[in-house]
Amino acid sequence: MLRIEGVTKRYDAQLALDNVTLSLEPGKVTGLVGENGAGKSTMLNIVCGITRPDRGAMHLNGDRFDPPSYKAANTLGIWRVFQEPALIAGIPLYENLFLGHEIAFTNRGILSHSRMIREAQRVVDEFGIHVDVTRLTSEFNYSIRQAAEAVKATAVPDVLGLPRTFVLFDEPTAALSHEEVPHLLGMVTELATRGLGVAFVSHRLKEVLEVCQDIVVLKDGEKVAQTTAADTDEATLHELMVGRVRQADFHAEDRQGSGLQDRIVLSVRSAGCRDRAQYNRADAQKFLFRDVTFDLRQGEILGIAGLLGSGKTSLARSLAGADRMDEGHMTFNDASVHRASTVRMKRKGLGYLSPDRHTDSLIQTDSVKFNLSLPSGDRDKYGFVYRGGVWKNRLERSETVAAIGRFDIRATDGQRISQVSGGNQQKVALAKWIRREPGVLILENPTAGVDVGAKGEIYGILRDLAETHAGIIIVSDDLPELIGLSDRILVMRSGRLVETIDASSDNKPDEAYVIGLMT
Amino acid sequence: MADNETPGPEPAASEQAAARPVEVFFDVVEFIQRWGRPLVPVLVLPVLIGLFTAFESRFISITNLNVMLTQAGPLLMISLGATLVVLMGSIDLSVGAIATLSAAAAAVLISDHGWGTAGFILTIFVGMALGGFNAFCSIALRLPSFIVTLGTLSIFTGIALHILSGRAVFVDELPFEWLARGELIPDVPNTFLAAIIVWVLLVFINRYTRFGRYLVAIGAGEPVAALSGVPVRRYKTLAFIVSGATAGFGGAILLLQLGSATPRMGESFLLDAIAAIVIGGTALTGGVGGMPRTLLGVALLTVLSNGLNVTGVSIFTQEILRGLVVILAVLVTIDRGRMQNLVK
Repeated sequence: MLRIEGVTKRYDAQLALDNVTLSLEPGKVTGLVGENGAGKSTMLNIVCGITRPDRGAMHLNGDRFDPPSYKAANTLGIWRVFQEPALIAGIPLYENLFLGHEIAFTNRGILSHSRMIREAQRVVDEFGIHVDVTRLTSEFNYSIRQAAEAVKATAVPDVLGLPRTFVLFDEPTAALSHEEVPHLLGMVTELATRGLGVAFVSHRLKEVLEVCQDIVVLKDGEKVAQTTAADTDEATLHELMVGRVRQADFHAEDRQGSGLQDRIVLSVRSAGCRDRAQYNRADAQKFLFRDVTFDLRQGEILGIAGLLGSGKTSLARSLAGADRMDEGHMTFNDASVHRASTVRMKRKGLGYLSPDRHTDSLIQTDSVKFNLSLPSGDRDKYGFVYRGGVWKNRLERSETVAAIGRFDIRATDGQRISQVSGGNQQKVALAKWIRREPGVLILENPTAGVDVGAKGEIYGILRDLAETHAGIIIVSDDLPELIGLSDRILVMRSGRLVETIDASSDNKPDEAYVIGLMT
Repeated sequence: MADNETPGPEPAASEQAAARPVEVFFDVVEFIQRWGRPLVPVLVLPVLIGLFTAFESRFISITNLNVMLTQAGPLLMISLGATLVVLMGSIDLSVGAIATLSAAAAAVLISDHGWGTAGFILTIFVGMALGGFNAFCSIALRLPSFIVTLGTLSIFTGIALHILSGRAVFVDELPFEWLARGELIPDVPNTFLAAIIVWVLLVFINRYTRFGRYLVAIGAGEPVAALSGVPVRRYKTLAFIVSGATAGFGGAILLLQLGSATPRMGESFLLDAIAAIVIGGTALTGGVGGMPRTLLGVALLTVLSNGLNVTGVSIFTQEILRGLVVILAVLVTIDRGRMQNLVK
């Protein structure tokens, strides 16, 4: 049993954890829930030795437990599955599995690769992931890498003869597609039945309720409640996390369609995109998506649903000009688009928000202001630049302050993005496009890793945008969100558009029905 | 994660003990970074000047200051454009070679073909063309700038050798004699003044123009800039061309100062320019730093090499000290936070 007593951690002015006491028990899954910034990640960091608490103590099976590093925690039996798989891309998968523990495979200083490969293949097969462990890690997709991370944390200690007592999962399902989630949840349950203690952090409360026995609710660094899954439900947890009753009209469905016009802002005709990652000649004709045809009207929110590999991400990128479209054509505001690029599409009035805040949509090391003005280096009325390329700093500043007020961004204009919480980061990313009054806004997983409160605010912002002038395309893995927000939903499967579902406010489709079409 | 210092789990106790002094060292480094990252070069500069003056009072004599400014002129000029390239996360190793080639072309045109002023002005355009070639290779052919400029460094040097036929070409009647020898401001060589004027221009461009801002954005997060509709390739090309232009002009200044073009005249500027940029505090990873830092770096490097000379330190030792300064500079200026991105 791992007891955490009165742990406190302060980052500068902010109290990340305030006197939190909880315990992890063998054979049980303990859920940690809370909004972004509630202290969940800090808690996991402390337990696995990445950060040290300012006050408080931990005891592992009665002994004082104070790991100085993640590796030290490993040797005592604490393993973690990281949110972003912490695997090195350029080395074979088996090397990643035993990274840092190669000593177990050395004989007089010589490393036995064959033994490593054999053992790695065995544990991977045991977990039902049928992949060749000698292939480079970068060749595998996200879900395999995530699974490998879980294998590393759970099965590798057995091979190495290390104690294996507690496994910490940090948002393991955030980037998984629908069909992959049950497998992961099954794995979590399996671990508990084998007698391990599991900590499970997730934003998806349904999963937490499904997989956990004990649930601890954190809010602003404090433990506000501890219950069992049997004694609570989603609505109660929401209420505890945010401290208010969850609104029934979370997706503002009553406002749906109020800005809908007949005018078509974006029309796409038999669009297709080749899979350029396939160097193999036989696959050279493979398409990421093909024969995609649809129209987007002003004021419409169009959802695109699909599993991983359905081509939905690639379609969104092609529309935005980030990837080249090989077939078909599109018309933007009645003008035909030739050779789309991000620069050209932006000029026409399109905004594209990538799902990855860390690498694609925000510059983490620069300020809120810098990020907000990034797309607006043009000379027209949305830009911050005079003729001659000189930057209008004063206008930039006042616009940033205005956006901070308008979107209720909890940050100052000069603050580094990396110091701003996930939900507020996403609002900055949205604001940088919305201030340009885009005719079309394409969003991918707009609320991934965003807390419930900020989610509701983002939905409100999108409704406002649709009401005023824009057509919006949302590509999302979060089906309740997709169904709640969209007027119509396009379902993609293996690169084709298989169905268009009407989702007007009085005719919302069932989640199960949409999943059925996706698979 | 600090988990790969020792191979096995057994020697945990000794690992901890050994880690202590290292940790203290990093704490000190972190303290400096936190409170004075941009200030370190500013603070070190007067300390160095004080030290050298204490050893040799002639160090801050007007004559020696004039010598230092003369030395600093071409280095500053050549470092300026390269700073833009480093700022956007690429590197330009060919600046020294561009300076040599431009000066060589100008020297031959002026002395053998009587081009005069036109030959002198031409250095800038030669530099731009060479920078454009770097840009073509690294952007259109999608090659890493390190490799491209390593190659062009050799190519440009080779062309310069051809043009000069491997010997020094003397220019008897230099145009712009006033620029080479004159002092518009008493005791400030015009060559240095020219470099400072270009510096002021680039400080402005860096801070207040779209070009300057987008370079920082590209350096800090190229995919973000690209997805925000920033014409990344255009600005990268422009940066290489500007780098070539300042290197070419730096070569012209060198030619004026020396009165001749030699095949090796720009050689030392490759390492000195990169060193000046790094010492000043512009990160090689891009996105952090800028023109004011490079001015500081040039000042530090010039004070250091001149001071060591004046105080009579052996030229061999000078090389060692210079290397140590570069390493120390990176130690205090690098953004270690970026390395920890793997584990949040």
